[in-house]
Amino acid sequence: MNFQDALFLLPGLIIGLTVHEASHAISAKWLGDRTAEKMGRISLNPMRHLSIYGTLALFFLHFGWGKPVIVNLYNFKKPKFYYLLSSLAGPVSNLIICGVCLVILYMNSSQMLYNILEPIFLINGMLAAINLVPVPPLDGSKIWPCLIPGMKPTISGKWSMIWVIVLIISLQTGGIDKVLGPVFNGMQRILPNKTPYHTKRPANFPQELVAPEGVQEIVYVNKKPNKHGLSFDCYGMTFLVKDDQQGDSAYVDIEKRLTRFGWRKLKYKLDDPEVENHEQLIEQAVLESGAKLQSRNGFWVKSPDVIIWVYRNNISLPDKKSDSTKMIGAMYLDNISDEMLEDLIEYKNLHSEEFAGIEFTKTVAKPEK
Amino acid sequence: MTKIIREILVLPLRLLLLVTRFFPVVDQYTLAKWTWKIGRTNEDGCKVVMETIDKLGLPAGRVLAHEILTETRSAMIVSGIIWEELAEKNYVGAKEWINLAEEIGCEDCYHLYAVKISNSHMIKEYGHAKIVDEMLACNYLPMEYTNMALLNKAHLLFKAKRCEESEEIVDHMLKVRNDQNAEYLKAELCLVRNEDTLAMQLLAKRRKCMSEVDYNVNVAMAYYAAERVDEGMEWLYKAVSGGYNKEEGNPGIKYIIESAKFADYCAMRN
Repeated sequence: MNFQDALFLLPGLIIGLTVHEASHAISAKWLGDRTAEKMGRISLNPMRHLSIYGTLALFFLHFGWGKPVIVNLYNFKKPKFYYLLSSLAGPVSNLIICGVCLVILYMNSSQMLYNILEPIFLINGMLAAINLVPVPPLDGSKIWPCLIPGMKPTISGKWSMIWVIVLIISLQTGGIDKVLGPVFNGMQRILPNKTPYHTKRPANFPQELVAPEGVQEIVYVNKKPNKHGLSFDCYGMTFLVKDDQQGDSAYVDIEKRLTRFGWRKLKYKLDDPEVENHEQLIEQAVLESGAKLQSRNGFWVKSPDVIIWVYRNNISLPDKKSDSTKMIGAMYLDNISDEMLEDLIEYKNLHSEEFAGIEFTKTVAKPEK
Repeated sequence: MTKIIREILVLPLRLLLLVTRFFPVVDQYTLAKWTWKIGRTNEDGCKVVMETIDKLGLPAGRVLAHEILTETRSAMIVSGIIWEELAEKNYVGAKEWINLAEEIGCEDCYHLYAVKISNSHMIKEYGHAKIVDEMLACNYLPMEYTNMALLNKAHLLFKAKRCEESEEIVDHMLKVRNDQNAEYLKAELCLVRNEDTLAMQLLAKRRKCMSEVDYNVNVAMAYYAAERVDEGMEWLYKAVSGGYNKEEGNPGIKYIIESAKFADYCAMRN
């Protein structure tokens, strides 16, 4: 995550953290403990909840935290049950924000509103999910002892520093992604479709570029820098993006959008130095997935918002000669710029065999509903 | 904004303070002074006062504490210096600090409860039961303070032979966490009810963290508290036979050991 991404996430994070911590404090007060209230935590002023170091860590360490709400369990009449409620209050408040964002997004089709609410929705969902991970100091670690009969609610306080280190390592190594990844994908899927990419063909769009029904998988490309800038290695083709920064954010964007349309990411390692034949590895992964498509190619055009993915039904391994080049599917967008059209034509001229019989014409059509 | 800048600037110093606690490569006093100069938080103030007392003595610490108290209006500073005054047996000075903190109207006056409750036997105005009730009336204290108040309240009720009420408090405390002191009181309450098995189970938890002699003394004291003197003497006899040094222990235990009744018991056993 770069500085720009962190800034983009900041409003959602501030709202999420503030409401999360204030909810803990309010629930504790309702249940009989005024410790958090006395410390000024029943407030929607973000400065009372944001930790300076936690916010700075977001930019430099790629994870952050807020000031924890102090709860005095002795003030609860039913310590275990009330602690459970007060610990749940934070994640539940984040889920409520998610719900509100989702309702607004489904009721209002404004793109601007979408751009504002989408990160708030996603960040609050992720905040709720990450806080339910049962590792101290997260809320999940306070919840599970309250659910197990005979266990004391304060058990999670023991060895908390060790758990914090474990949490940081799992955040840095991506271990926690195995838990959070499916949540993130699921959240993206329930968002309404507001991107310029569509799964249905706009009017006058070349029939051959329509993604066939039932295509549910895609092999993502491997990003690597080279002397020309940033390139994406793909099965049989390289996508070149001259601007490193733009390419990075565009890559993230592609991943997000494709996930939203229900495309599933295939797991394979391209970064593994011990694996010499990447193509073989990808082929194996594709075959193992049971996908009908056996190869996927695409090309990248100059604007980072414009991308076409082309799917072909052949295998183009280095030692095999392609015998079929018919395109059977693609992702597309409705507003094709002149620049992109030029790129398409240029691409077609370079790969005339593949595009035999296909005419690219400029289309500015609205998607079918 | 100033606070944010201060917090960022003071971070390396705080880290250094933490490190020098284990590896004293830099003078703690100098570090604490700079941390206070930059950070200006209550914790920084408290730290520099303590370091000043260590380095330059109590009078210098008093002067600095006055200055910091005027700026921070935090009872944390006061509670820190009061412990030092009490260590010097300056009860009048300690009381003056408490009065000053209360006059200033510190927001975090609860810091003084720990001092008051621990010294209620030395400073008569601080009636033990009164302070405990005052603490329990506040449902906004940090957990350790409420724990202290609940334990004291349970002890007071136990001494007043209001065992049911005392047990109610102890049970509530044990619902929150495994508190050794609460478990000990619970054991005493069980012994009053002649539930010796449960009492011994609770007392056995202490066995891990103390020698056999100390454990025997602990069990003896529990029996004495439950007014079961015979069993108490039996356990105390075990402790004394095991090498318990009455001179190093609690004066109350020494008094029992030196009593004629215990001497008779020992003579009978021998």
